Amino acid sequence: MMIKKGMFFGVFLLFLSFLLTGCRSGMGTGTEEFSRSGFYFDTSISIKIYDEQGEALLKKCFSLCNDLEYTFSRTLRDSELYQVNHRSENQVEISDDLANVIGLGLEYGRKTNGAFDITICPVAELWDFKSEDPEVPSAEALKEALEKVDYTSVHLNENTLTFDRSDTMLDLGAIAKGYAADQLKKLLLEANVKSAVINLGGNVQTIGAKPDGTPWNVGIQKPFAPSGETLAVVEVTDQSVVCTGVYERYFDLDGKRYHHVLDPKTGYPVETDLDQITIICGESALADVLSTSCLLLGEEQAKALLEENGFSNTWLHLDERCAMIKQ
Amino acid sequence: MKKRDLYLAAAVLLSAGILWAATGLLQKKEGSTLSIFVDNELYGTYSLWEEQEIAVGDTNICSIQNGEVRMISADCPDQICVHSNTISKKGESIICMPNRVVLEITEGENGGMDILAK
Repeated sequence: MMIKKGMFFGVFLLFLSFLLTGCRSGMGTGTEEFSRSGFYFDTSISIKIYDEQGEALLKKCFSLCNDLEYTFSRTLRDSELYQVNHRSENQVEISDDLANVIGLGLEYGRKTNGAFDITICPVAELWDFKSEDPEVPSAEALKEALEKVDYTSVHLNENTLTFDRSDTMLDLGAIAKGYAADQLKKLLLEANVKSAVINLGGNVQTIGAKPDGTPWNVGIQKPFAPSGETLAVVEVTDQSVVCTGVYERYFDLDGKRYHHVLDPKTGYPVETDLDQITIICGESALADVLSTSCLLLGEEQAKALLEENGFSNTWLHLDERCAMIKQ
Repeated sequence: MKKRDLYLAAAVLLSAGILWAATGLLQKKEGSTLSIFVDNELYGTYSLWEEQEIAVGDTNICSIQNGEVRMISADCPDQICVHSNTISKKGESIICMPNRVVLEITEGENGGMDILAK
């Protein structure tokens, strides 16, 4: 009898010891993170999904990014946009994705009176911000390219795109990443994902909150500081954070700085009183086009544009030349 | 018999204690990971607690020292990656766009930020 009791006691203690070591390991939330990084849309992207289907969903997400790149890329010769820009007829039928983004671009051309203009492509092609020996395009070349810039000469009716001129070319760089982020979010929501974060070159879109229920802490890059240094960290749940800034791509030449946000009226980098605008709202495509439009308009007109488009007056200066607006 | 029970109990509890402490330590050492991606593929994963220099292809070299990662050399024209801040917290990353190299802390201590908008 004594032996039995001893054994039972011993086994019980052994069981207890396993319990003790078991509790120590693993993540508190019990939700595994599936994460992948890659290069699309001419930038680095990263997607993190907190869902047991994460592995399969990541594959679908990256496949979607590939598809969208072949819709919106200005430089890939097989892309839909490239074909549109190098068309033989002035009326073309386009996909829903391309129509949605062009539609939004034309809408903001109207709302900003041309300060934002997706037909800026001929001008954009003259500038090379990645070159090892960057140059400022000649005034003559810019003048010639500027004549082709006119959003009012482009007409969209559902999936039919009509051009008044044969030399009009479109650049959707200011909207494509935001739109892609929304499409990725849509894909994940349809799969019932409750928590995820999408980062397309700094264009952030979130689904829900973090697995532990707390908001995402999204850092806002400090202009001209090393990557990772922030102006502020904002708490965000289920919303997108998009910044447009003059610091993202630029070159210095003869003591002057030339940044990549080109003014459709002059062909040169826009002269503005802002270095960075951050928009926080549900739709990433809207945040993308709005942040670019605001930067092009400057503070005074930007505030008017925001008010007219459902953003209450929540203009917050993170720094003298940096503002953040949260819907 | 009773003494034997006590010895058995003590031995089991002691081993439990040792296992507990060991997994705790292992967690801290093994739970901090640098993942390197080149193009769209995972190049390798490395522990933040092992001091080392890692050559990424023949274009970039990064180093792990004191639980921090930095890009020590790259052949890209802009050198943005080399001038980036060191990273050590989960979610932080250093990117070399021209060479399509991403250094990311995929496991580790949480910093004040989950993601960077820029």
